[in-house]
Formats: sequence, C-alpha cells, structure tokens
Amino acid sequence: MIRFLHTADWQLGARFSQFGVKGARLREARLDTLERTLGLAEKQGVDAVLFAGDLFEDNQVEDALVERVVGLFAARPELLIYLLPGNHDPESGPDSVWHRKALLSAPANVHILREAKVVDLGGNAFLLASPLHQKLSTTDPSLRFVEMAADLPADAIKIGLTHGALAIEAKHQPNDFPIALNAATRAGLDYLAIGHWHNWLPDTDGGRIVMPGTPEPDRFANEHSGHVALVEIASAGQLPRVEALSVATLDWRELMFDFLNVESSRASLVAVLAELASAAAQTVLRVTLSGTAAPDALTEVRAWLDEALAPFLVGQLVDKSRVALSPTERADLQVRHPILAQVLADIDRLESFAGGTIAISPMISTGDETPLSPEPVIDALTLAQAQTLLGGAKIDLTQLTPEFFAQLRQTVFQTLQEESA
Amino acid sequence: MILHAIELYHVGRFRESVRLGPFAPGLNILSAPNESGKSISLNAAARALFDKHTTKGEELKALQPAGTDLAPRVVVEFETATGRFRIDKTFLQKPTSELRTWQSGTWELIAESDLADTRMQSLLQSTLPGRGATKPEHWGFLGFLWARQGEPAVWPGLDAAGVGQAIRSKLVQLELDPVIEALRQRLAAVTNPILTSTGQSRVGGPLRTAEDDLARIDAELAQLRETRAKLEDALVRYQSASSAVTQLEKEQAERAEAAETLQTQAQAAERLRGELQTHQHALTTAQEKLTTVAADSEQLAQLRTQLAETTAAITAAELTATAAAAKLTELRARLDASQTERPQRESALQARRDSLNRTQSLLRLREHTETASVIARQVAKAEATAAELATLEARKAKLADLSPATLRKLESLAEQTRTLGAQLQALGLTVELTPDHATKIIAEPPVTGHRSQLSLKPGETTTLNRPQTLDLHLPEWGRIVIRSGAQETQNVAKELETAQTALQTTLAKAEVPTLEAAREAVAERRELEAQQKTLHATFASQLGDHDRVEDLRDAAAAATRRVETLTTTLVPTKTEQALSQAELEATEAKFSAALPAEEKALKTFDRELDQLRTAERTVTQSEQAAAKSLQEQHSRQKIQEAKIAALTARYADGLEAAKTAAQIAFTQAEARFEAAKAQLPPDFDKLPERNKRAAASLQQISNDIQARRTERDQSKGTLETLGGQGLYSRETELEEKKAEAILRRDAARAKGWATRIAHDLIEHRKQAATKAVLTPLEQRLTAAFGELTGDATRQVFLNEQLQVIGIGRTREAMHAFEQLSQGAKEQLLLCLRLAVAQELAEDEPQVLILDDVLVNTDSVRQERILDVLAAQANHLQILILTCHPDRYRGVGEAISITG
Repeated sequence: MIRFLHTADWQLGARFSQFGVKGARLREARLDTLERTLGLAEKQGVDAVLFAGDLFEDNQVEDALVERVVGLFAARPELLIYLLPGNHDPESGPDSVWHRKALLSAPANVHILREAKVVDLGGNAFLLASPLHQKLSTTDPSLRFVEMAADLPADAIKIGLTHGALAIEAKHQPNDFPIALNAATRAGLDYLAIGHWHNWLPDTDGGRIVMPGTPEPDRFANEHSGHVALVEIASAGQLPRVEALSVATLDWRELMFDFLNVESSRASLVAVLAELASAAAQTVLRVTLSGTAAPDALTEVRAWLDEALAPFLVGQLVDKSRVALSPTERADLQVRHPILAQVLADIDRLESFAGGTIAISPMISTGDETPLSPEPVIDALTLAQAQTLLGGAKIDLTQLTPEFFAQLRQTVFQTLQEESA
Repeated sequence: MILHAIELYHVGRFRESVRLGPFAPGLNILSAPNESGKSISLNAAARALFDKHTTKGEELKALQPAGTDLAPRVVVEFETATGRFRIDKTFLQKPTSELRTWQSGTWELIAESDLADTRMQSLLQSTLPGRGATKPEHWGFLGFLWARQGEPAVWPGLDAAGVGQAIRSKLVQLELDPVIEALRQRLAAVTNPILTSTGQSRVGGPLRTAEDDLARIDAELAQLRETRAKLEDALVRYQSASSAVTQLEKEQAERAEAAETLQTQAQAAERLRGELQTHQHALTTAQEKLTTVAADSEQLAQLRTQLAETTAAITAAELTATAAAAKLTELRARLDASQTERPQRESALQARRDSLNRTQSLLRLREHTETASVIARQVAKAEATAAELATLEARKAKLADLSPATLRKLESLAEQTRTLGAQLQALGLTVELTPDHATKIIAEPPVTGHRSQLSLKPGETTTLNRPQTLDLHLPEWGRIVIRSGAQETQNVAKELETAQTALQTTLAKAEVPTLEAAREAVAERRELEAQQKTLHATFASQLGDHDRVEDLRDAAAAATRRVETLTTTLVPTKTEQALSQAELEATEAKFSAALPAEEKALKTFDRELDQLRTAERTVTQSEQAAAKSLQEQHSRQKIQEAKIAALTARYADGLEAAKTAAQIAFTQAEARFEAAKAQLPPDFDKLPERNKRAAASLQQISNDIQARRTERDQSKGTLETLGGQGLYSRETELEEKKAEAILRRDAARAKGWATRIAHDLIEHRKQAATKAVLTPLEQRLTAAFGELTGDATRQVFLNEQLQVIGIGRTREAMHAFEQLSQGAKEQLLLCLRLAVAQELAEDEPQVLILDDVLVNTDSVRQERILDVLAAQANHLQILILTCHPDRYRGVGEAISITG
C-alpha cells in the first residue's frame, strides 16, 4: 500500500496586480499554506508528497522565494518530496528555476524530476515522472508512460506524475499539453497525478486521474480550489482512495450593496462583515456598490465601508453607484442655487456628448413614484461650448466615462455639502 | 467714503505743512498750475489711506521733498458709513500711524500703528500686496472711482473677488449666490494643486506625482522586459546550440566510424601498392637491361660498317692530296712570270700619260696669256669711260639745280610779269620824248630797276612807259616827275611789283640770273644726263661680270699671275714655245687617242694575273683540305676501332648470349608485375584522398561542435546569470506598484477634471447670468454717454466682465474701445465710473476723483460733462483736479492748497 499527498499549481510568487502592493500579502499567505500543508503531510504520515507541476509561478522568481521554499522542505527531512516542473516552471535549461543554487543543492528529501524517469518509491511502488520542458506543446505528456510502465513489474503500483490540460472537448487548448482522458488506464497506471487547472477535479478516467486544483484560491471565482489530495492505493490494480483536504489560508469573498434597498443591503452587509471580522486578516473581500442614491447617502455609505474594510487583508470597494436627486431636491436646488441646477444640467449634456446614455437628468426612483420629467434648461450647453470649456483644460470629451460623470456629480454635491457644513 | 480734508507735512514741494480742504460734499474743483502739487497731494492721501505706515517703497520715497530725507506725514479726514475718521501717518523716518474718530466734538484715538493700518483696510475694504506699496487694485472702491492723472482710460476690471464682485453685483443687479461662489472657490482650491490653468498636471501635485511614479515604473519595467527578452533570446540560443551539439556529436560518431573503416582499407591498399611498386621496379630493370644489350649489338654492327667506310675514305683522300700538290707547283711557276712582266708595262703607259699632260699644260698657258691681255684692254676702256662719266658729272654739278617744275614756275612768273607790265603800260604813264637835240636823260624808275640813262636822238620819239611815276632828269634843265593817279594802275603796279619780286626771288633761289639762263641750265642738264646714261651702258658692258673697275683690275691681275705661275712650272723649251697653237693641239689629240688602248691592254694583263693568283690559292686550299681530310679519316678509324674493342670487351660471353639472357629476365619480371597488379582493389588510387577528406570532415565537425558548445555554454552562463536575478518577482512588484500608481493617477486626474469641469461650468453659468443682465447696464451707460456727447444713436457695449468693449450702432458693427479716441475713452469710463459710484453711493457716500482728465474733450462736450457732473454732485462727492481753471469757472467748490 502507499499513501501520498498529491498537490499542484501552488504558483508561488504569483502576481496580484488588481490589489496593488497588497499582493505581497497574498503571496506570503501561500507560503503559510505550504508550510501548513507540509505539516499536514507529516501528520498524515504519508510516504511522499507529489507536486504535479507549477510549484513556482515563473522560472524567474527571486532566489529568496526559492530558498524559503527549500527551507520549508528541508525543515521536514523525513518527508519525501517530489517536484515536477510544470508549464509555469518548465525544466527549460539553465534559466529554469530548477537550476537555482538552492534547488541544485536541495536536501536529500527533495527530489526534482527534471527528466522523464521512473523512481522506485519503495514498497513495490514506482513513480513515473513526465516533466515539462516548455510552456506550450501539443504533445500529450502522458504518452511516454505507456513505454515506461511496460518495463515495470505487473504487480507493482504505478503512479504517474505529469502536468497538462485534460483533453475535454471545448475545455482545453490544443497546444496546452493535452492529456488523454484515459491516460491512466492506457498506460496501466494505478493513479495519474496531474496539475494545471485550479479547481478540484477528481473523477477522470474512472477516478484514476485527479486534478487537485490550486491549494490557495487566486481569484474570486475559484469556489472549488483550496485543496490537496490525500491518496491511498492498496495494491496494484486497485482503485485509489482520494480525499480532498482543505488547506487554503485565505478566504475570498465578494459582497454586494445595492442602494435600491439600502436598509436591507446594509443589514446584510453588516451581518457578513461581523461574521468575517474574526478572520479578517485571512480574508480577501470585495464589496460592490450599485444603484443610485442621494449624494449624502452615497457619501455616508462609502465612508462607512472604507472604515469597515480596513481590517481585512485586502478590502476592495468597487463603486458602481450613481448620485441622483429626488424631484423635491431638484426643485429645491433650482430655487436656492439656480446656477448649480444649470450646472447639473450641463453635466448631463456633457455626458450625452461623451456618448453616455443620460439624456435626462438622473432621478431617484422611489418605488411607485414616477420620475418627473426633466426641467427644461435655458440656454442648454452646446457642443461647441462644451468643447471650448473642456479644451481650455485639455480634457478630451471622448475620454470621459459614465463613471467619471458619476464622480463629477458626486464631486459637486460633496463639495456643496462641505461648503454648506 | 468721502474726503473732508488732507494735510501734508514734508510732502513734495511742500517742505512745510499744507492743507487741502475742506472738501464739499458735491463738486470740488482743485485748480492749480502744473507741478503745483495737486496730484502728489492726492497720491499722498492714498498712501495714508491704503499703505501700511511701515512701507518703504519708491512710491513713499517719491513723497519726500527733493534732496531731503524728511519724513513725509499725511493726515486725511474722511467719512464712511460708519463714521468720520482721521488717519495720521508718518512714513520712512520713524513711521507712525494713528486713527482717530470724531466723537463728541473731538478726535479720539481708536488705533495706532499696525492696528490702525488694519482698521483702515477694514473701513475702506482695501487689501495689501505681498510686499511693497499698494496699487490702485488694492484701494477698494476708490481704485475704481479715481481716474488718475495720465491714466484716465485705465479701468481695473471687476473680476477680482471682493470689491470687484461687489461692484459687479451692484451694477448688474446680479444676485450672486455666495454658496455657489464659495463652491466655485472651493472647487478651484481642489483643482489647483492637481492641475494648472492649462490643464497640465501640476508639478508636485498628486497627479504629476502619480504620473512620474508611473513613468519611473514603466521605465523599470521596460528595462526588466528587455532583460527578459535577452533571457528568452539566450534560451533560444541555448536550446538551438544544445540541439546542434547533440546532432553534431551524433554525426561525429558516425563519421568517425566510417573514417576508421576507410583508413583500414587505405592501409591495405597501400601495402599492396608497395609490392606492386617493387615488381614494377624489377620489370623496369629487366627492360632496361634488354634494351641496353640490344642497343649495344646494334651499335657494334654500325661501328664495323663505319670502320670499313673510313678505310676507303683514307685511300681516296691520299690520291686527292697528291694531285693537288702537282697542280699547285705549275700554277706558281706561271704566276711568277707574270708578276715580273707587269712593272714594265706600267712604266710605258705612264710615260704616255706624261706627254699628254704636258701638251695640255702648254695649251692652257697660251689660253691664260690671251685672257690676261683681253682683260687688260677692258680695264683701259673702262677707266676711260669712268673718267668721261666723271667729267659729265662735274659739268652737271656746275649747273644750277633747277628742276623742270621750277623752270615752269619761272616761266609763269615771267609771263605774269610781262602781262602785268603790258597792263601797266596800257594803264600807266606813256611819255613820248622827242628832243630837238641829242641828249641824254635819266629816267627813273628804270625798267629793270637800274638807273636808266637814255640817249635821245633829235627828232626821234622815244616812248617811255611807266606805271605811275616817271622821274626824268634832264641835263642842265632839271627834273621832271610825272605821276599817275589811277587806282587800277596802282593795283596793277603793285601786282607787277609783287610778280617781279617773286620772279627775282625764284631766280635767286635757283641761282640763275635770268629766265633764259634757267632754260639753258635745264636744257644742258638734260643733255648731260642723256650722255651719262649712254656712257653708263657702255661702262657696264665694259665691266662685264664685274661691278666696278677695281674688280676688273683685280681680275686682270689674277689672270696675269696665272700665266706667270704656269710658265714657271712648265718652263717651256724654245721648241715648245715655237710650236704653234695648231701643232700643240694636234699633238694633244694624238696622245689622247692612244692612251685608252694602252690602258686597256694593261688592265687585261692585270686580270689574267689575278686569275693566276686565284687559281693558286684555290689549289693551295684544296691541297690543305685533302691533307686535313686524310688526317681526320685516320683519327676516325682509330676511334672506331677503340669503340669496337670496348664494346666487345663488356660482354664476356658475347653480345648475343647477353641479349638472350636479358630477354628471358624481362619476360619473367613482367609476369610477376601483372600478378601483383591484379591483387589491388578497385579505386585504390582514390582511397588516400577519401581518407584525407574523411579526416578533414571529422576535424570540421569537431570545430563546429566546439563552437556550438561555446555558444551553448555562453548562453547557459547568460541564462544562469539572468535567471537568477528574479526578474519575474521584480516585475511582479513593479506591476503591483504600477496598478496602484494607475489608480492614484486616475483618481487624481478624475478628481482634478471633475473639480475643474464643475468650476468651469459654474463660471460659465455665472457669466451667462451676468450677460443676461448686461443689457440694462448697457442701456444705462448708453444714455449717460449720449447725454455726455449729445449723440444718442451710439450704444455702449460691455462684455461679461463688465469691460467696455466698444460703441456703435450695433454690437457687430461697433468700434472697439481700443480704437476709440482718447477723449471718447475718457468719457466712456467717466460714464462707467459714475454708474459705479451711483450704485455704491446707495450704501455709503462715495467720492469720485478726476485728476486732470477730460483734457482731450472739446469745449462743447466739456459743457455737457459739467452738466452731468453737476447733476451727480447731488449724490456724490466729486473732486476734479485741473490746471485749466477756465474750464471750470463757476463750477462747484473751489479748493485751494493753503500753507
């Protein structure tokens, strides 16, 4: 019998541009996850840990990262670790991460499978490794297993290790190392450990091909990631028993706040935030604002959320809301600040010139109230006037987006509020 | 604010104190001559009202009396809506500032020093510049209401916040929303740190900072990517080189194996070639030996044949030599005889020649002698002729040198004289004398110019003609002078005299006395010349080929010498001398005829002699040749015999036996050679070249492998170096920073644009609103301007900034303000100032100061202006400063500067 941990696609050193400099926090979290996974492997008493490719995000990751990883491996010298180059970190030559000094002088428990080979795992179990040497290829990397396995005893447990996309119709690219869906049985393998896709995919080729997915989610859409596979094969020919162990450190959550139902949105959000508060340091949170609201309401919610998101490892606020006035507010504005009312109308005109959809002034639709028709604007802003006005500030009308005009209106109201305060 | 009084101490030309005022509430006229201190007084008042007492600008120093450092002190009494005040400021030296208010009949001090300055600003709504003295734009409302000397057409504009805006709002009744204005200012305050007025990102602002950060990050990323590109290139090169090395190594192995096989083959072939060469060498030796023996045999036969021929030749040569010797002897004998006879014949011939020569010489002597005689005769003749020629020449020289032309001239003059004489005679006096007795008279002038004594016979009439005068001397009687008075006679007489004079002159020049003499001289000369010509021809023939007589003499002398020489040489005998010419000639002919035959005979004899000699030489040569030939044949014979002996000695068994043995050896060697040749493989001769090529290929491959290995290793080095730099991680860090910087930039830009657009939209709407209310103000100003100018047809037009932009019937066809005359500008601005003052006066009394303006206004318009000012004086304090008091007689309150 043999028990091993199967994982892949750690992509240590990955980039998180959407979070700016906070991406470093996510990269650090992955190393925490790796350390914890190795601890889990030790605790489970596995015979080996198989990394089926893409341990590193790129061959040009920094030495410090490589040294840390090797350090983590070295810290558990009893744990046999097998590292297979994938398409992100192929064994492509001297530039490859596998030729760094730290890996060239890796401790004895770390085995880097730079070339296709058969490794005796002991206990009549053999590991057949087919590493990648380039980023793209139309060749099935599991093909060579047929020949490699032919030379092994029939009663030996044969475990394949490679990296590529499962050749599922309309789900893979032809040059993305397509692996046949029967690659394990074709070569007479008891188990084929692969990596490449980031979601857990266990039941291919009768359960003999497993894609564990990335152990640490890397986007909001990866619901089925964050696992490693604990595999047990009793003997040659037996179906492997595969268990998904959750190892992810970070929780990625995406929440919505719709101004259409301010109160319920707020209540819901408050509840979730409270729930997540204890694990805020391990949570990547995105809150999206949508709908329209009065200026002060928008300001207040934004301010509240800016504060509420601060404790999170990454707290991202995506603002798709828009400011709007109620008819009463607009009428009041017209009376008290006629010029300002005209300015708002001018903003509407500008937006229409810029290709926006606003032909009438935005109103807050309050349930069964019918939005009032817009106030006619005397001396409506002409395109020529708009171009003259914007030209003086070297602003290109075509560069102004609906989001900008939302911000413009918000700016006007916010400044007005500040002045009135 | 209105003014009540101004006091000055140490200001301008006022070294002591002076006072202006009190000013009336309405129209005040301060008239004084130029440079009397009007404007400086008001300027000093402005300094006291608006400048800090501690200001030390040039404007303050200008207040000091010239050449002094006295501290100017200015006191202004004024009134605002809040009360009546007195500000007392001393500048430059120990500056002070005191503000007092009129309370309960006294001036109470309410502020001093800086506080006083600050209170003044508040009272007058004025401002201070950052440094230095204030300017009109800092003077609150007075800045608009004071048309300063030299600047009547300057209008500050109403854009500035505060006073400007207040005036705008008053003028156009525009209720400016303070909130919106504040909003506009706040927006501007937000925009300004982000954007410049031209829309560029402001240096040091958040947008520029983000842009700079982005640029820096992009530069670093570009560099990183460049490095990554190098890494990619190096990887490609490494892979290519690695692949090439593998391929080349495989090829090298294959080629090495093939080369080894080829080498083995080449070695075997080489061994066989060696054996073949040995057999070939043996064959060659046998062939040479056979050839040699055959050649020797043939040579022996030849030698024997040659020997026989040589022996025969010797016999023949001996016979020839004997015959030649006999012949030679004979020829020599004959030759000797001929050589003896030859000199005799020659002597005879020579004697004959000598005779002929002598005879010829004698004949020449005779000839020379004759020639000399002839020449001598010629000489004599020539000399005579020459003498004759000389005589003729001498005669000719004696003649007068008179040319035919001169003769003709003389004849003409003579004819003329005759003619004139005849005329004169015809015209002149004709006196007939018929004496009774024979007498002698003397008549003058004489006809020929000499005193003429005439002998008269009795009873004979003698006629005397004279031109004009006749002077007769009668013996024993006396003198009678007869004169003619005819003019013509006088003229002719003059002409005659002239002609006679000319005739005499010409005769004198020609050296002849008379015309006849002249004629004779000419005729004689002609004759002499003819004789000379004839003699010259004779002389020439006498000279013959010679040019001169001397030459002829020389020729004669030469001929004579020849004769003498020949005579001396020949020494003719008497017999010879006696011979006649004919005899000599006959002898000469005889000798001449005989000589050729004798010469011919001698030549024939000589030819025969030469033939003998030639024959003798030929025979001698033949004999010598025969002897030589014989000798040669003997030598040849000896050589041939020696060769035969040597040849036969080389072969002990005999030549034939040797030849047979050589043939057998050759046949055997040939067989062995062919057998060895048959053992060689095909193309064996190409094997060495193939072996060489194989070795070269191997070397080439080896070199290629080395080169590609080097390339691979270099690429590997590059990969290891660049690969270890952690480019991806560095790039990741930069990309994340860039994302943040982009967010900052976009946020700053959006913020800047939003506030800028909002600000500009507000401004746009404000101006639009202002424009909407411009029309009433324009109408008001138009009415005022019409009242001033008397022309109600022209409208005044303003822009949104309430600046006068022009006047005209329509806005489109208006005359721009800048193009108006100075007077029109002053009047327009006066209207505007009046309008402003009127509006401001609703809240607080206002003073309008006109410092020497309207100087460009004509008298008619001046009256209108005064009408308007007088009307306005009911609501405004107006202070006019002028140096034209005549224009303002009876107008307002006269103000003077009192000391």
